[in-house]
Amino acid sequence: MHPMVTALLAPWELRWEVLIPLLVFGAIYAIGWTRLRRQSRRQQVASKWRLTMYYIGIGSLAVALMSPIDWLGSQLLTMHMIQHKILVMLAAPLIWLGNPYPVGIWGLPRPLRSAVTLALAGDTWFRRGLTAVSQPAIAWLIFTFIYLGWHDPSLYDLALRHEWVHNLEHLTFFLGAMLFWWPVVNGAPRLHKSLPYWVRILYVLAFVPPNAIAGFAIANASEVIYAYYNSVPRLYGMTALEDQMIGGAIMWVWSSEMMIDAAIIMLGVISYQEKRRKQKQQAATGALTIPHPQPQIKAAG
Amino acid sequence: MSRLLLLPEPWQRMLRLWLLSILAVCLLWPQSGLAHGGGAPQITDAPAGPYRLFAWSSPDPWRTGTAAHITVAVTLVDAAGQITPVSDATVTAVLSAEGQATPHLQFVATPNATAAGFYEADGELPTPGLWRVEILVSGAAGAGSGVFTTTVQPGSANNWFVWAGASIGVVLVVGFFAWRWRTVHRNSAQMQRA
Repeated sequence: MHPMVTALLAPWELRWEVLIPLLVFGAIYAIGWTRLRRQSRRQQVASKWRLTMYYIGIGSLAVALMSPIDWLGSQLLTMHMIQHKILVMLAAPLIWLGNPYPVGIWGLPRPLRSAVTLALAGDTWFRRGLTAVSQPAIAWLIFTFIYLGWHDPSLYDLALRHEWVHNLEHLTFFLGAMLFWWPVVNGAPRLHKSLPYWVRILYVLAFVPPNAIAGFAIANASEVIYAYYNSVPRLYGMTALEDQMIGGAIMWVWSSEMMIDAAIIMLGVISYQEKRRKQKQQAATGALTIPHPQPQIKAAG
Repeated sequence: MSRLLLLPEPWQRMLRLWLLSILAVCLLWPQSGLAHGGGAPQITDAPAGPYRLFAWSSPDPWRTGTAAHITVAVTLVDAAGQITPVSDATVTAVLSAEGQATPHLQFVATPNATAAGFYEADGELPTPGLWRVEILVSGAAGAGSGVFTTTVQPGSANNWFVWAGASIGVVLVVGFFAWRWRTVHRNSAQMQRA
């Protein structure tokens, strides 16, 4: 068996600082979902597909942070890139698709539910701050800055040398991604006017050029940019430069592809909405016109 | 979840509060107690008898009074240049303070469950200053060793992370009870007025 496959099949490291928040958030969502479903099974807020999305999102966080991918990230840039992509391109949008705020709020004990609702609905500093940073242009800039900033060689190496910097990197990646995907998924709480789909498409596609440039630069560098990877044994059949080339390509292709996929999905939604609108229009005009009597054709014989 | 445990209502509330307090502390706790890869490279691809040796130390720098962690990787390179991890070696780190009469310390490394050829050792250093760390490897192919030196910094009198975590916990609990107290008083005042 290839050493990479063996390493990926190795036991997970159950990190309590990851496991406990995931379990707590998972439990809160489960309680909220059950409460909402008890009220009505037909409502859209806590549907089965949203539940699935949420738990796949939570599960992908666990995969990124506790599976052998996390450990292999300290040995291979490729694995580190895969880990980052799972955090920002899978976990964040999937969690938003799970509709975490309206469902989760019902999983909280009443005093906390009131406190959270007041913090978000009232004129509080928390709401004002969140409204400011979640403006689509600001959210886009914050995420792009975090995403590209951590790929600076000195910061990247610092993260690999210091555990707490590494944890901070992952936390900021995830929170930045949550901010980025918020206006795309249009998740609750809605602090801004919903963006039209064509603006959302432009929003995600605007991320492709900076990401592609950074990924291309890493993939095509003639020497190892992230010096830390020169200090590890090459056990997985590729040199540090080959590893960097694949890692850069993953950054370039995967992230760009995710953005293009999101744009295609939104184009599909636009087309579906347009079709529905036309059908409704036709139904309305059909109802208004006076029906002409149709000639009856009788079958001979 | 608490319903599944069939707990009475007050216990359910306590359980939820406890879980949320843990969550808040976890989210605000930036340092992990576990090492999961990474660290400052100390020995890179150095010959050690028949083996090639790699070693990393974390946290960077080491401090007295806090856990010092060493990750060691042992590999064998055959004539064709093929690198294979050595997973059945005995790895020990012997630490001695330079110019001090401190007795030698010995950290026995255990194999990493995730990756073949990697070993992890933990310990604590009693005094600050320059320390010499000798990594001893013995296995079926033979024995070898590698050395690095590192400066151990004096430990902080206060563990700021613990203090910060504890303070956040206290603020959360006090805030929660203050909020409850205020709500109860406001409700009783409204009822009296009514």
